Amino acid sequence: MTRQPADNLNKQRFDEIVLPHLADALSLARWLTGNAVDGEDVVQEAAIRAYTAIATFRDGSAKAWLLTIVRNTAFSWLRKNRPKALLVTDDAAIFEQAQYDGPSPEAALIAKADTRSVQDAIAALPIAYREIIVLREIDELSYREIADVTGLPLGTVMSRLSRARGLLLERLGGAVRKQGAA
Amino acid sequence: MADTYILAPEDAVLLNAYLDGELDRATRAQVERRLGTDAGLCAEHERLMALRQALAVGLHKEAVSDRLQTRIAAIGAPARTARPMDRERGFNWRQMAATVVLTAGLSSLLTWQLSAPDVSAIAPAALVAVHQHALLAANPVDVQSTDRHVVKPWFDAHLALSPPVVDLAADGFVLLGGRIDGVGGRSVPVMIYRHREHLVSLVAVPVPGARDAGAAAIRMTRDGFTMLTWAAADFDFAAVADIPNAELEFFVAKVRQFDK
Repeated sequence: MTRQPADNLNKQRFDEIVLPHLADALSLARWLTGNAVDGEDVVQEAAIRAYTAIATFRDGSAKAWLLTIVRNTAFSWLRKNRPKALLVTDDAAIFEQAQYDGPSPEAALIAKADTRSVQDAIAALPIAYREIIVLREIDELSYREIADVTGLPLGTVMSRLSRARGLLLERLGGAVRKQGAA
Repeated sequence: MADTYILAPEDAVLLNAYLDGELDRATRAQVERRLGTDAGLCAEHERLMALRQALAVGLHKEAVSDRLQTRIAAIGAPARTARPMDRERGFNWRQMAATVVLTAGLSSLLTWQLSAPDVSAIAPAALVAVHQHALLAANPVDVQSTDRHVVKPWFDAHLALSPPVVDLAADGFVLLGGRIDGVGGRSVPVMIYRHREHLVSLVAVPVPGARDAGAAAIRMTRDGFTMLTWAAADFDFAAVADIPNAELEFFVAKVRQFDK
């Protein structure tokens, strides 16, 4: 009514582009920061950034666009509040070994994993792998979209996803075996 | 656990891409042929399928709290600056009530412009919730009548508010009656219509002194419901339903036509 037309339009675009994907945004922020409370702060800050940048959104996936902003906001937040979480631990060789050596857990064992074990296993992943898993498994992005959101080459996305799942298999196999022995 | 087979990393990547539906048809067929003959690949396929099952059980999309939804929906809303890390509710009804009192005293246009709240400042979640209450209630209406001359006085008597109540039976929207619901801690009138087998909630949020500037309704969707909001004389309206967008727009056009 009394607002400038441009403000009205921006608000409308914000409501259409951002509001439908808040659960996806919160899921990514929660797994990057490590908890839901910090995740909410990151999502709110990302939403404000999205609002100010709303005119730059053209076509394509609104979800991927928003998640790119959420990811950048989360990494800024981590640099400021949890610098240790960003220590580079993604030595490719180590993780390839982790996946391809040692006994492979049986599928039946993995399928029995409970919620707690699954969440612990995800939380234990180095952040470079954790973000790929969350973008794929919760946010359901395609490989191409994950590459766009993270700024990684497609091939890196594919190998990281493969390694991340290998690590989860390892951890879940171990966790379930331990439970069985106890 | 004597599985000593070591899968080549590139085969693992291929298998993951296969399971994620990211391969073209020819490569997919190739992987499927190999799965029939390669025991190691087949075992890894089973493990990845089992992992998918475990993740489906243990990993969920986060639920967005009403509080967060309200805070974010308020971003860009007028007459309020969204602050980062603000843990307060996004829309302050007490503040609005104060400005309404002020408006009552000073009817100047300027005062009105400063105090004008609008429906877009209310969390869409709260408005959709009103519709969900109607769907969940044993009876969607508090006053049951297809006669607008019954429904309108009922609101007058119960809320001291007189929202426009429109009879749209000829257009396929049958008035079922009215109910009172809460939005942001405040009682608001809701008109309930039936369209085919669907309910349509028309929420009227009082905005004393507001005029209809004829601005187009704003559409948003949430939880599978479509909502159209617009500002009219004395009320901001939200129409919520799970009917096709075109039908809801038709409904809104008819309501606005009558309201003029």
